[in-house]
Amino acid sequence: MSITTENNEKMITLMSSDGEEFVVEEAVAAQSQTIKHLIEDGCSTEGSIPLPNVTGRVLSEVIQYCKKHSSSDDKEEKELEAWDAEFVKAADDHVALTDLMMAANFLDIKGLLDLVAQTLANMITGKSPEEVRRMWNIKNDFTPEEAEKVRKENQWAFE
Amino acid sequence: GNPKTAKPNGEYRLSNLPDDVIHRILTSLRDTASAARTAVFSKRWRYLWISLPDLSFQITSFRWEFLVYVLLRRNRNRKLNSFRACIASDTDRFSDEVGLRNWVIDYVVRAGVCHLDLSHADPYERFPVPPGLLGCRTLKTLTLGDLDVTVLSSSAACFHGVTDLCLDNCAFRGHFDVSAIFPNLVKLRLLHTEVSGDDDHCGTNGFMEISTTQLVYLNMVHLLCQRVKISAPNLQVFKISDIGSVISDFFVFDLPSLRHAEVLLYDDQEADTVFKLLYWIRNVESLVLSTGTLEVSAKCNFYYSCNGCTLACVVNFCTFGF
Repeated sequence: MSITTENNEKMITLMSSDGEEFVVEEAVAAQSQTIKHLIEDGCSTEGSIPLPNVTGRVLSEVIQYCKKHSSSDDKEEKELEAWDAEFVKAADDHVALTDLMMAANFLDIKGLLDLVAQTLANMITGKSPEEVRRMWNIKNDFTPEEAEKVRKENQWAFE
Repeated sequence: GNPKTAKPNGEYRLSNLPDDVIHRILTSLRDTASAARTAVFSKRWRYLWISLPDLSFQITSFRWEFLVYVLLRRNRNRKLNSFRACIASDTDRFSDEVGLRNWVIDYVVRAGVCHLDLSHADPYERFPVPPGLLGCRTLKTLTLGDLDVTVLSSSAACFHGVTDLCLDNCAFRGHFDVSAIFPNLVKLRLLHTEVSGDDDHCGTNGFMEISTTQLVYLNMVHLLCQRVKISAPNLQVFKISDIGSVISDFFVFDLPSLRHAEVLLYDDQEADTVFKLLYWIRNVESLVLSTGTLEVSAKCNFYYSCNGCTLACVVNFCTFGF
């Protein structure tokens, strides 16, 4: 069962892991290849599609992205780029970005995945290993001997 | 959620992301050397970069030793999606550079590469495309820079899967029938590329043929070739700029699907050539012309009247515009 709006847009309901429901146009949700395939396979007949891997907070951001990108055409490319930059800025802390990355990966939204991956890559670029470890709570579990060995293994990359 | 990757509160940390998600981040870094440097973060990161599906080597960081090392260390079970390298000559240290080059190309072909971007670091010395490339059946997009691409026309070569081809500052000798080598092209870019006859130099007597039914996008910038034949019933976008005075014969067949065209020429262009070009694209929806193109077309009394075409803009085209 699917709801139809006044302008005859087909609507579907997405349910987050924490039970929050989002009613969106099918065209917006179908930017996610995962959801698109679920719709095509008739998995939305119950009225809502459960997304057990995505929390409501993250899902609302993802929907924001999909809405923007389904309403713009190629001519607004510059404006869209600026919007994307603001979008990832708003999700600036890296926990939010890794959440967004996981959601984009699970939902299979290529544009969002590329955008967040590039943002995270930019955060690594130009930082020392120690700075990156601190930023992401990565524990350096190498012994000094191992660390030296890894560095030697990859010496060409450091030149 | 997945107990391996999810914290109790549903938050993820970088190291907890699955391998293929981290690979996405690593391939967004500047090049493979940058990705390899993440190996020192922790044990989790040590071998992550070894199975990267996308490899990229930039000239500033390029070392033959590093490239060979990466390919030898690479997880061979992992299919290679894209390979990008700007190869420098280092004949002082390697006597058999041709052999090394061929080894690298044979490797990426065996690894099933889909997207290949290969260029030479020295634009003034073009080395031939390694012959191993001719056997590649997995290619989808191909970009070649500063290379001699004549070998592509040998009878063994036919890249059925390639839909996107870009030749930048490449040279070809002989009759260049693009459609015979790349029959399913959708997008073609020919930048600063010269096609010369068997017995001459610098684009005189060269003949190039582009007749593919799937072609949608064609961009030619400073193409050096005397005769060009284009037949593309599904072409939607056609851009041509700075063709020089070399092209004397232009055979364009009807372009019924053309929607957007750009003709950016200098004012020293042969009026006849400009006239012909504008005639063939007369049915476009939007058009971009240079002042040079307009001046020449005015000289030859070309009255531009086409049905429903919006002249998008007239750009000033100066000599140093590139």
